[in-house]
Amino acid sequence: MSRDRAAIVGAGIAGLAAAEALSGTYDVVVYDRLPVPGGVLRFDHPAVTGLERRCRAAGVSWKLGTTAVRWDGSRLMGVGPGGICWDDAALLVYAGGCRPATLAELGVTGPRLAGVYPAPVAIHLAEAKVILGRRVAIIGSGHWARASREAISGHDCSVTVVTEPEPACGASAARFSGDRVLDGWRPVAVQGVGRVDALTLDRAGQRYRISCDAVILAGSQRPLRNVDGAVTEPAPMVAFVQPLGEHTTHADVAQQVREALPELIRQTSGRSEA
Amino acid sequence: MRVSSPVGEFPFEPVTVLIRGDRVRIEGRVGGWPAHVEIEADDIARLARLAGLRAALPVAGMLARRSKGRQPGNSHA
Repeated sequence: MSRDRAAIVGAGIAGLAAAEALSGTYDVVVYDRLPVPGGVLRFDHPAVTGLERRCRAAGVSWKLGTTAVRWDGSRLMGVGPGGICWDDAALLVYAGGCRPATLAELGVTGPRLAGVYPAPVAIHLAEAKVILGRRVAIIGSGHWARASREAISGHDCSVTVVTEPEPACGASAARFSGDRVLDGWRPVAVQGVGRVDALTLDRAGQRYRISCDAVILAGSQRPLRNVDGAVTEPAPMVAFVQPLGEHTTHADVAQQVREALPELIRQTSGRSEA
Repeated sequence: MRVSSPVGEFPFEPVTVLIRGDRVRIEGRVGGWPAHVEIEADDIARLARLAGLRAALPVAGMLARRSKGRQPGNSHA
């Protein structure tokens, strides 16, 4: 007897945990734009290899290196090395991970300038030996901020860390020793011509302008949504599994996904029957 | 083997090694993507400069022997 297919977008911890959890009741296919599982963890991280091994043993199939671009309620379109492909699926599980808030989402005004990087981009560039700037401002104090700071640690630059009004982890200054830490300030504007050269902050109506030639957006997690037809909630036959949380570990993510998935699928099925 | 990229480090899994004249072509996969590495004679000289002559001599010698003894068409190693 044939089973319904579930398509999963994202082969990070959340996607792999979902694939394993669903493999008993669905034929599961996992999409990821990267060519290997793991997402923000490395492909050889023990948590990744363990989940991948169990998924393969359970018969999960893979569309790695293939970007999922469109969901129409019963089919998922992907673009990969072999061209465009469509997979029929009764359910889409979206496990696309998270991203930092954009300037617009933070309420920061100003022109669109070079030198403003979302933290994941900044980290990749820094690891590729790209110098981001000589006066770097990091907005946020959570794990993206720490990872960004670590990535530019070998660069010849000064760093200012601007923490949220309520820092995610508290005692942020202790975690950025040697850097200037501005606790409790909110970014409100970027200035510059072509490239950022200043960031204006606000705290209880008080304004403070700092000079910088790079800004790393590393605060306020948002779910990453980039598949047309599965952007806003609710979406037809889509369960979103994107746990947010500053202290969330990979084990927490996997556990949250396993616990939340049955109810998410029940809600999704209920919407389709209504 | 591993390769780095702006979006992370990935495994390179060789599947076939082809020697064509003065070129070595390693075909394989980077996870879900087909990939290959092609090494030309000029690259050997460059690698020799970078790695030191002693490290590259065995490779250059192997290529020279294969090139002398090869038959028309591709040879698979």
